[in-house]
Amino acid sequence: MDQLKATFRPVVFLFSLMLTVVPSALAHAHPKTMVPAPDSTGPAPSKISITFSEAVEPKFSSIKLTTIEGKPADPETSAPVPGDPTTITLAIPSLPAGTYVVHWVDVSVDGHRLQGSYQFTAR
Amino acid sequence: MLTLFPTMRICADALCDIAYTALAGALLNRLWLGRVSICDRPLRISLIACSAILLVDLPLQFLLLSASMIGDTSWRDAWGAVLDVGATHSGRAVIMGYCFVPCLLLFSFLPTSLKRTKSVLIGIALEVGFIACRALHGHAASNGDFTLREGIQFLHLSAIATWGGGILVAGLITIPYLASIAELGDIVQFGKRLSETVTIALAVVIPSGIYNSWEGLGGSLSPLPNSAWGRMLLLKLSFVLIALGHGVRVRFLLSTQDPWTQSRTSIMQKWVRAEALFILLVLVCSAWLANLPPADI
Repeated sequence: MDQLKATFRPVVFLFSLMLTVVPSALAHAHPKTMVPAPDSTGPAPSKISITFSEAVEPKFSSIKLTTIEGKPADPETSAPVPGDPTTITLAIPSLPAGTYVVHWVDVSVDGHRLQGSYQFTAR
Repeated sequence: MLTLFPTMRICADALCDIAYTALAGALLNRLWLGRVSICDRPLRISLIACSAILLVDLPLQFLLLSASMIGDTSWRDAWGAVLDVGATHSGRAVIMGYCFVPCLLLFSFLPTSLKRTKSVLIGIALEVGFIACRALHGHAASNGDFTLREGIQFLHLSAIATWGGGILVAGLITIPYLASIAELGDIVQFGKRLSETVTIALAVVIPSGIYNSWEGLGGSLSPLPNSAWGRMLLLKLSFVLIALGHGVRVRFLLSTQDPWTQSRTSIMQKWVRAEALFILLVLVCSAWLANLPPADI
């Protein structure tokens, strides 16, 4: 038993040491293409579309649009694009001029989640 | 509480990797022992223990997966999302893998009167099924199912289970047990069988590992020192090389023509145990890599 304890001691020590440096963000699918682009200014878009670096889980991935003050700007809910598991879109019926914030959440097929936001301005 | 979820995910993944690898190792050790039945009891206990660990660990992994998908808010929220998680790709892979676990547990209680080779092959078939489900879960699944990447991942996990599991169980259970009660000839025969199988497994581990690493690095070596994934890969690689170094020493020891002595048994026991410990660290690094964003994104 003592021999077993002595054998495992260095492994337990190294494992504990490694656990102290676990990064807090463990997420995998990153946005690759965002329409409208971050920090862009242009005509009001009819939809927001984000394409991620890998396939995402539609049930756990979403896009929400708010005003710069944080009020919801779109009653619609985002949806996946049929045949393209990497893209989700949010339809926008009409958007008055102003600056808006796009909040996105994605869960990649390997189960890891990432979230973020960016702004664009509609003329 | 929130910061505990990522750490718990790595621990649960590492525990699962160690358990199914050791399970494969216990099966192979039974096969390599041939007609030597003196080690049946500890190997059977290992099989039962590993299956029992998987039986508890996989539901925990599923709950932690649920927590990950909803943003690590709370256990209650994670529990509330389990049905939706069951419909996702990763959720299904965990559930499918879990189906093999009770079968493995039942298998470990099979009477030893059953013909040894046949019974071990049943166990290996169950283990292969479990590994196939494991290959569907993780970075390899990001390009879709039944892809080359998933196929290579399956080969990699199977070969790691053969190499790692074989050495882990041999170094920590079988060889110490044999050294205390078996004849020297039995130990040498066991060592040679172990060495031959491990050499074949390594011929798969190395190329499939290089392929997986290249995919994870996005086809470039520059992220190796500049990303968390790359640095963890370097750490894993260094543990693999140290383990391999010990394996090469054992192979040379077994290949010398001098008569086998008790002192050589002690040296072999020491080196295989050291290799087993580094394999444990390799498995922990693998679980860690599975929870880090790969460098290609």
